[in-house]
Amino acid sequence: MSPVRPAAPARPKAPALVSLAEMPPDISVVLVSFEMEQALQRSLMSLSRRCQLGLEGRRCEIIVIDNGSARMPQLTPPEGMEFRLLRASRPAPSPVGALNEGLALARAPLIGAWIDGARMASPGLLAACLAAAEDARDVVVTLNYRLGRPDDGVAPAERAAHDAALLAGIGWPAQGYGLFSIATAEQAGEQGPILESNALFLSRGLWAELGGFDPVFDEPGGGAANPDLLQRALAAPGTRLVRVTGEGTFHQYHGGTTSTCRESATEALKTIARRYAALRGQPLARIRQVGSVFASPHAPAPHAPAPHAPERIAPPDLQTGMARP
Amino acid sequence: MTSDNAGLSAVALEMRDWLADYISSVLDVDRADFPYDTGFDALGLDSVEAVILAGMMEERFGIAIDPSELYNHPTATRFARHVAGQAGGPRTAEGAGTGIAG
Repeated sequence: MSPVRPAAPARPKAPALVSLAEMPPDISVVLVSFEMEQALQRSLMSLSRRCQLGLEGRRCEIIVIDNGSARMPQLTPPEGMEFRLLRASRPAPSPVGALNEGLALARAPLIGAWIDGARMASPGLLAACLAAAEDARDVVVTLNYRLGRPDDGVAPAERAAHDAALLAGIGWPAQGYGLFSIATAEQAGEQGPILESNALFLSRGLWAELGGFDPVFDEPGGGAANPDLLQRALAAPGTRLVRVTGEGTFHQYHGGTTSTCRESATEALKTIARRYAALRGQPLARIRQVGSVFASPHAPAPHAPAPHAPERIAPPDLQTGMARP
Repeated sequence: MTSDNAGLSAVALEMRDWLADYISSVLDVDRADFPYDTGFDALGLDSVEAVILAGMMEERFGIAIDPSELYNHPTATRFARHVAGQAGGPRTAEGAGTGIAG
């Protein structure tokens, strides 16, 4: 019997070398697109390092997932960002599946969902959301605006050109905060009730816990999937609403189901509300709690449009323009 | 806070009660003391919520409702009277008057 050789003392394991590319970014943003190349390009420009402030030393991932456009959008990647453009594996009238696919690919601990890729960001939005998310249970919302004024008489066929003229008029992208001066809020004041946030940031863990957006909202545009997600996030145990002020996302016209004309927007919202109530057994309602307010350190004051009467509030962009022709 | 029921038809009263139930469920308004004659604006109902309300009311009563009418008849009592008057006629087994819906 040969003597048992004593085991050599274990050598301490050298830490694995991880390249920068393998390390997760600090923040991910997932945008869904469908036949909106021009608007999407502006959204990406607004999210580029050229336009976003206060991101020194931070790594940002931007994922665009196309929900079945006839031609994949030809895009200039956002400068200074880790960018991926993907096609949804199962394009559908609802953006929910595509968005969930994109969320699953996002690598950062803080992930933002843009259910409508046609939304431009104000310059300090990403930095503010990063700073606002102090806890993994925080539900960080930014506020919704849309380019133009309600009832400005611009015909649907002219809206895209009108948006372009408005942007040129403020010197965008150089003057990013000028967006507030050419837009209408979708809520009454920065602390007013909100139905949804089109740039909603949650921790990776909270996204997983919620299961992303609910695929039951399979109608064109996703119906009330976005407000439903917000309601569920705030109903989850231990979560806290954090409202970022001084920043926002700005909807561009792109021929979506609720942005085509006022009448169709009204009827679409009625239908969405009825379906939501049927599915959830409660009415679709705005969230009235203000939550914890995080004022963006980058936003110049005053940054928001003048207070307006409730009837001046623009219809929300629930449908997000993903509907098929 | 109940208002005088005089002048409201049975259909209008039912609509007014529905409005009170609905608004109390989405706004911070006490159903037991619902202010039937207070303006929707004062209760906090905004234009988006008006559209949602109209959609729900259409489904409940089987009639078409233009949300802008909430601003022309801006209290629960006045709106119920207006809509009931538009619907017209006695209620059928299938629901409220069918004079508006196409």
